[in-house]
Amino acid sequence: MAESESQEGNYYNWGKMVENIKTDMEELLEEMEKLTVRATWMTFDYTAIQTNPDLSNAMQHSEDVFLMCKEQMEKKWQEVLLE
Amino acid sequence: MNELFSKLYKEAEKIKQWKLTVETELNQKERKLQENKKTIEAQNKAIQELQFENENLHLKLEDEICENKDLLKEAAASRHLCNLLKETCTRFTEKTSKHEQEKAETIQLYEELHSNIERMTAAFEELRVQAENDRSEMSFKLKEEAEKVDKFEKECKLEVSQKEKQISALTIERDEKDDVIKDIKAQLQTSQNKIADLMEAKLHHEEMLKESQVSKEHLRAELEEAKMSLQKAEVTQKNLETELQTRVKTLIQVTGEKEEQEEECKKMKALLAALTEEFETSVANLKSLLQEEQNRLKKYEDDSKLLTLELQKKSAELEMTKVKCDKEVQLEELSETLKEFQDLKAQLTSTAEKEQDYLKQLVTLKTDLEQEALRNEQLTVYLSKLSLEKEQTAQEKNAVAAEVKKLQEQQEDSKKKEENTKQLVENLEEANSQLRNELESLKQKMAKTGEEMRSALDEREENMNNLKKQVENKTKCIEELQQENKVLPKKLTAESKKSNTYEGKVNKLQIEMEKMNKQHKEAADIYQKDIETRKGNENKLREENEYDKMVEEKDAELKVYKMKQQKQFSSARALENELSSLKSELASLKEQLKAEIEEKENLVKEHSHSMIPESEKKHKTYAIKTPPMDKMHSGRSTNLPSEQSSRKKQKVLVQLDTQSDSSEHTDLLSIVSEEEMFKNLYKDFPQASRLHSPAPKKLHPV
Repeated sequence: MAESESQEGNYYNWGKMVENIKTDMEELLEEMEKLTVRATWMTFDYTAIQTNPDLSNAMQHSEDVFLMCKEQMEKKWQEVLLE
Repeated sequence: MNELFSKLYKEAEKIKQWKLTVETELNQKERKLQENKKTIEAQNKAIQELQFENENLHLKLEDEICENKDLLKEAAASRHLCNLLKETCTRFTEKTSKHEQEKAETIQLYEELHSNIERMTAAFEELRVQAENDRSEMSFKLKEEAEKVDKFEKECKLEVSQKEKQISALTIERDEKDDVIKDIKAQLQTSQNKIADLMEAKLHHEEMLKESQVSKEHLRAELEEAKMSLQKAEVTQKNLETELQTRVKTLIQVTGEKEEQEEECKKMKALLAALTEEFETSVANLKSLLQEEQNRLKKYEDDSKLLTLELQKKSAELEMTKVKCDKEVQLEELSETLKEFQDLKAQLTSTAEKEQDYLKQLVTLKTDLEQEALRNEQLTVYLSKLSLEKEQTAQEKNAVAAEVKKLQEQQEDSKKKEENTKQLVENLEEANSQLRNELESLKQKMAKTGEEMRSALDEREENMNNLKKQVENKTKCIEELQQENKVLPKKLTAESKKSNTYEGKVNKLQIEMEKMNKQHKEAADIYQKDIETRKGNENKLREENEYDKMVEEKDAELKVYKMKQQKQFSSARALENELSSLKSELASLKEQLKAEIEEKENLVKEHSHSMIPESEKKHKTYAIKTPPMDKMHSGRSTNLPSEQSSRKKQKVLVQLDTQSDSSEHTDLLSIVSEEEMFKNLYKDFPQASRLHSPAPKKLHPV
């Protein structure tokens, strides 16, 4: 009895296990899909971030402006006097 | 014990009962056992069957179990995988969440960075712009300051040039004065040199005097010797004359033999002339030798004298030093000196002997001459010899006379020289005194010139100081005048406004007065009319009383009106007085303005004059065109008297009339232009505005 019960329970559990597995798998699938979507989104974002030229341009511009400012500041007053 | 037995009995009973029970139960159980055994057998059989089935089932089961196990394993594996997947998914989700967070953070950081970078760029650009602006401003300021510095340098150069000009002028003056001083010094030196030369000349003349005296003595000695020789010659001359007379007598006897003998005598003449010439030359030589020997004699005599003097000195020294020195040395010296003296005496004797020898030679020569003359006489016999002798004697006479004359002339020359030397000495002394006087006078002059120079220098310094003070005072005056000028128009406007207001008030008061007068007159006419009408009405006495009262009241009112009128008149008069005073004040202020402008002009002119080197205008004066206060009442003159102009070195306080109108308009312009010049020169440099200090109204021209 116990065996049958256990068997049944096992069978029942098996079914449940199967169902659980199915559901779990489905859930997993969904999650995987979601995750893939998110991964693609992330890759897109990363690429977008990495390929965003604004920062580099801004940095370049800032570097240029900094160099110009540095040049201006490095101009000695003597040159100004000479001027 | 009973209880125990009871208890034991009870327990034994219990035990029996329990045995019974147990036996029953055992029996039951045996039965059951048997039944069970039966059943068991049945069951064993069943069991065997079942075992078979079980075995089958067991096998099936085992298979299924295996399958189940496999499935379970797979399930477990899948579960494991699922779990792994879940875990991975969870991790992934976590990571994705983390990544998203990080992405968000990165985006925020990115944005922040971007914003920071933009701020940095903006800041750098602002910095750059600020730097450029600052640099430009600095450059502009520097340029302005450079320009200012250049202007200042130019102004300084101008000042330097002016000051250099002043310095050059002053150096020229200094050089001129140095030249004057040098000339005076040169004159001093020349005078000193002259004095020295004169002293030397004096000494020389004294020496010459001494020498001349010595020569005079020598000449006197020679004179005496010549006199002696003259006497001897005269004696010989007399003898010869007597001989002549005797021989003249013989001549007469021998004239016939002249001609034959003359020819021979001429030949002999020539020979004798040559011989005479030779003898003359020898005589001259001998005479020169004589003279030399005489000079030597004299020198030796002088030397002897000197030696005697020295001897005397030495004897004196010896006498003096007998006590101190050794007698042998002294004696040796004495002996040496004596030896020297003896040598000198020997020399003197030798020279005397030489002279005697020379004299003897002379005598021999003379005897030879006489012998030859006798020979001539013997050859020519008489006339020629006599003539020759005559000629010879005449020549000798002439020579001696000439010598006497020469000696006399020499004596006279020596006397003249003495006199000349005396005169020269006197002249030299006079010149000395004159030179001394001149020296003293020159010294005094030098002192005077030095004092004058010092005084002049002091005066110049004082003048410079005074001029500096004047400059300062003038600048002060200029500033004060400028300020006053600035203030005066305002005052003028205020006072003009006041005067206008007062005039308006006066006009108003006059109008009011007129009105009041009119009203008064009208009221008086009305009252008079009323009084007349009321006086005509006898029936209206009460009314007359009332009218009288009214009249009295109106008289009082009239009086009040009159008082008001008088007050208004007085106020009007006061206002008119105030007006007049204001007008007078205005006029005075205007005149003050003009005077101050004139003063400014004069100050600027004087300042300009004072800026020019003082030395060039040492003797120039200032022609003040505004008359002083002293002459205000006496009338207005255009220029100061020349007295002040002639006073070169006196300070004169001149109170200028500030209310005079005698100044020229050109002065104003010149002042203004110079003020503008000053302002333009010292625009940016308030340091130099000290020259524009305010000046008092009093001036101090020099």
